[in-house]
Amino acid sequence: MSIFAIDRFDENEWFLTIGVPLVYLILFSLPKKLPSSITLLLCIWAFTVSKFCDFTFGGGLFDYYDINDSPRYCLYDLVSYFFYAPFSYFFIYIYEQWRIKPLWAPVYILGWSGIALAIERLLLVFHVVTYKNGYNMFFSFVIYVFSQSLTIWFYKWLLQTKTGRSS
Amino acid sequence: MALAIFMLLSWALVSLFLLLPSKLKRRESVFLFLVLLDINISVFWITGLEMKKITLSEQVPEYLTYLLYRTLFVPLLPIMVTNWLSFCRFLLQKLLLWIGFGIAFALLEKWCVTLKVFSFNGWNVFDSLVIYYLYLLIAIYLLKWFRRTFAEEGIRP
Repeated sequence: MSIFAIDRFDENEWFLTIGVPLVYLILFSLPKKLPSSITLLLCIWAFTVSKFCDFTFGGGLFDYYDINDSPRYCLYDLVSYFFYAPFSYFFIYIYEQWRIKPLWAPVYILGWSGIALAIERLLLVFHVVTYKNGYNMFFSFVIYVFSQSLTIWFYKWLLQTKTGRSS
Repeated sequence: MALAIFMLLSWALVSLFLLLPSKLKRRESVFLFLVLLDINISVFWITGLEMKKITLSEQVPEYLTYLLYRTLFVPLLPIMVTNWLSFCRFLLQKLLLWIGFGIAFALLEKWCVTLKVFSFNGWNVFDSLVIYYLYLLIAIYLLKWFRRTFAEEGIRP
């Protein structure tokens, strides 16, 4: 089987084929709130974090879950990262919209981790993700709490200049 | 041993990156790092686990060293060289930097093989160097694109 080839086009591929245009439709229909460079960097951030986790915990020596139909790297694995990419923008967009105070940030992160778990449940139903080797949703919850905390830090860090000013 | 050596090297690399003068803005560095990391994760996976050209160690410390090499060393070095190239005034300086970049990666790969982080199977250091020089070119051209595209935002350092 060649690299990127799809084994069979079934529910997981359909989920992503419909899901990816939908999330970008939401992204582009939201009123512009952040600079374009920040929007791009937040999307690349989510793309990279999800890809890093999948290729670190979901493959190789650890191998706790599969993305799409097999452990192989197929075209729709790549599509799935485009699905995740706008979510960190949504996360920061609402964070800014609601003007979350630092004291409430942990509650906001926990709430979003719950939303992420609900989406992951949907991904499990559609076989976009398949757990194995004892992996369960609690591990994902921990990863979401850490990655979303990092996303807020990343966003704040991007807005700061090297001298500590806010741009 | 491999993990300890590469942890120390990564500390030195990150220190160099953070402390030496830089003409790259924060958003530019992050953009280049994330894109190169994305590409590199795919390249390492395809060459290693799909094409079986590189055999990874099944020992946890060596495997963690491989993850460190894949995630930090390979994306960061081309960014550092891209930054240093912008300080070069003469062609000879640039040429030496390009050669130094290749030597640095050749040594790192050699150490990885010696310390049994991974082994080559129908692959060699020169194949890797072709990829790393491509990363350097990608970094240079992506930086130009980023600066042109977001010039109106007046990104501060």
